[in-house]
Amino acid sequence: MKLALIGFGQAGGKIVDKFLWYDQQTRSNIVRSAVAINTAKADLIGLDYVPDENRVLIGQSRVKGHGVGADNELGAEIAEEDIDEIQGAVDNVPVHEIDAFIIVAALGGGTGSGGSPVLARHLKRIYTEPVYGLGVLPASDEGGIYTLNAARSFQTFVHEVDNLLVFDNDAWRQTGESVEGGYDTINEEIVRRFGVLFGAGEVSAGDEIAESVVDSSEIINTLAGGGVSTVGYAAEDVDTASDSGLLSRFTSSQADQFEESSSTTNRITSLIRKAALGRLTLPCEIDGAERALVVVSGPPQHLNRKGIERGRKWLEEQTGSMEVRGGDYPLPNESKVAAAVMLSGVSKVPRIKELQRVAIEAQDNIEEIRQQSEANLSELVDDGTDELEPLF
Amino acid sequence: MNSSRCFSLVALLLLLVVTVGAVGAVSVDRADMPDEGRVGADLTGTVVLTELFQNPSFEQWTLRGATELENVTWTVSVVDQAGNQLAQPSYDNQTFQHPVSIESGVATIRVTVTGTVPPIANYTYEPAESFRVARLTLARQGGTSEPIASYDAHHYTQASREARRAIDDARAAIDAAGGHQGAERTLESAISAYENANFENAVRLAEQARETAEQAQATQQRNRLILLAVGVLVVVAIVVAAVVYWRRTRTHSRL
Repeated sequence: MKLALIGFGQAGGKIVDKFLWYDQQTRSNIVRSAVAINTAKADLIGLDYVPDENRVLIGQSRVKGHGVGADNELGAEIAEEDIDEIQGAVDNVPVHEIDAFIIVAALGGGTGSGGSPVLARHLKRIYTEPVYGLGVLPASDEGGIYTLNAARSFQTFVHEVDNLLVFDNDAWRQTGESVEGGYDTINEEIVRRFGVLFGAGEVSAGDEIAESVVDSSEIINTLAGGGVSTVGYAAEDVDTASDSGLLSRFTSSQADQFEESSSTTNRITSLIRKAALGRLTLPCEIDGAERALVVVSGPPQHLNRKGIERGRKWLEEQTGSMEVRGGDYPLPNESKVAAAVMLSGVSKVPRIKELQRVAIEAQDNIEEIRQQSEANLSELVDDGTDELEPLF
Repeated sequence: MNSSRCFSLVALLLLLVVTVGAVGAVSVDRADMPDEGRVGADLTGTVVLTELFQNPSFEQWTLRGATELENVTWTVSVVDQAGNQLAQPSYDNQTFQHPVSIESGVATIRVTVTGTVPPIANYTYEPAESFRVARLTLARQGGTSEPIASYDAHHYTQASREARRAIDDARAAIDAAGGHQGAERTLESAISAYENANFENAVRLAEQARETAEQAQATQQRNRLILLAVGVLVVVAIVVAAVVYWRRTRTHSRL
C-alpha cells in the first residue's frame, strides 16, 4: 500500500521520520510522500529524512516558531488559520499514486493534538482517497494536562478520519530508559508493525509473489466502517541454514517433510495467537472487533496456507467477526517469521475510559484553580492591615 | 772398461731424456710483493725460491732478475739445506745474473729487491698503471730460459690516486642508480681527463657525475616511495569502497 504520511507536531514528525528511515533501510517503498508540520521550528530542523520542501512551519505570526506549549485549542486555531500553507505542502504529494493519507500525531501535545483533526477534515473535503489517523496516547504518568488534551483530541479526531489507528504509550513505556531512547524504541515498534501491514502488497520485479497477496484494498476494506483500530504483532526466529530447499526435498523422507510442514503450520497459528492476545498497540478486548486482517510474513519455505487459514479461523472465533481477511508476505532474505494482526472497529477499550476519567478530573481541577485564582492572588498581595499603598 | 762405460753412457742418455722431456720450473715457496706504490717512494719485495734442481733438473743454471724500480738493489741470499747462509751477493742494476750450482749445496734462494717506484709514463684508467717489480727467470748456457715468477704493481701519484678514487666513487654511484646516460657521459669525460693527466678536471667531472647519479637515485627512490604510497592509498580506497558498498546494499530486516 502506498502512503502519504503527514506528521503533525513533534511526535508526529519523528514517527514519520522513522517511517522514512525504515523505508530506506528495508527498501519497502511504502512511503510515497512525507510531510511534517509544526509550530516549533526546532522540531522541524531536528528531522533527518523528511525532505526540506515538505517541512511546514505554521503559526509564525502567533507563536514565532516556538510551539504552542501543550495548548491544543491554540494548535487547532493556528491550523485553521494556516491551512493554506499546509495545503501547499500537500500539493507536492502525487495523489494519483497513493492509496491513502495517514495523519500522524501525538494526541497529548498541542500542535499535533489540535491540528490533526482540522487537517483531517480539510483533506476529506478535497480528496477521495481515504484519510486515516495514527494517534499516540500519552502514558498515564505524563500528567493531567496531556491526558486532558489526548481525551479531547481523541474525541474530535476519531470523527474526522476514516479510521483512527491508536498507539498507547502507556502500554509500551519501559522504566529506566532515557527519554530519547524510550521514544525511539517505541517509534521503531510502531513503524515495524505498520511496515509489515502496509508493505505486504508492495512488490517489485524479482520479488517473491505471495500466494494470497494483501494489497491496499484488503487494508482499506478492513478499515472501512470507521472507528478505532489496534495492531498486534509477534515474531519468531527460524533456522534458515538447515533448509537448503532443493537438497532437503530429496534427502528428507516423507515423514520428515510431513513433520516439517506440521511444525510450520503450528508455528504460524501460534504466532497469530500471540499477536492477537499479546501486547496490542492499543490494549483492548478483541471480541467485538468489527473487522480484522492478518498478515504472516517470512521466508516462503516457512509459510503455508494451512497455518494462515487456521489462524484466520481462530481469529474469527475470537472476535466474533465474519470479516477476517488474511494473506502472506514472503520475504526470502529474512531470518524470522512474523504475524501482524489488525483489529478494526474495536469498542471494548478500558484504556480510553480510563483516559477520559482522568481527563475529566484534570479538567475539573483546572477549572477549580482558575476560579480560585483571583481570590488566592488577592490574599497573597493583601498585607492584612491595609497600610501599604501600591505605587499607582 | 766395457760395463762401467756402458753404465755411465746409459745414465747420461737417461739424464738427457729426462732433461729434454721435462716441463716445469723452480717453485716459489713464498712471495712478499706489494700491490702498489707511490711514485718516488721506496718499495721492497721478497721472493723465496725452493726446489731449485727438480724440474727441470739442471745442476747448473743462471738466475736472472729484472725490475723497473729505480735506484734498485737486489739482494740474493743463498741458503743451504740446514739453513745456513752460504752467500749473499748484491746487485745494483735493474737486471742481474746469479749462477746457481747444485755443488754449492744451495737449497733455498731468497731474492729481495729494493728501489724507488718509477714515474708513470702513460696514465690509463683501465687497466690501472703498473710497473714490473721483479721478474725472475731460469737461464741455461745453451740459451734456453724458463720463467720462474713475475710480479707487477700499480703505481700512482697523490693527484692520480685522488682522481682515480673520484672516478671509482662516481662509477659506484652510477651503478647504484642503475645507470644514467648523462652521468655516464660526464664520467667518460672524467676518465679521458684522467688519461690526459688532467687530474683536477678529472676530479671535478667525476664528482659532477657522482652528484648527478646520486640525485637520479634519490629521485628514483622518492618516486618509488610515492608510487608505493599511491598504491597503498588505492588499495585502502578499494577496501573502504567495498565495505561501504557492502554495508549500503545490506538491507535492514523488515520484521
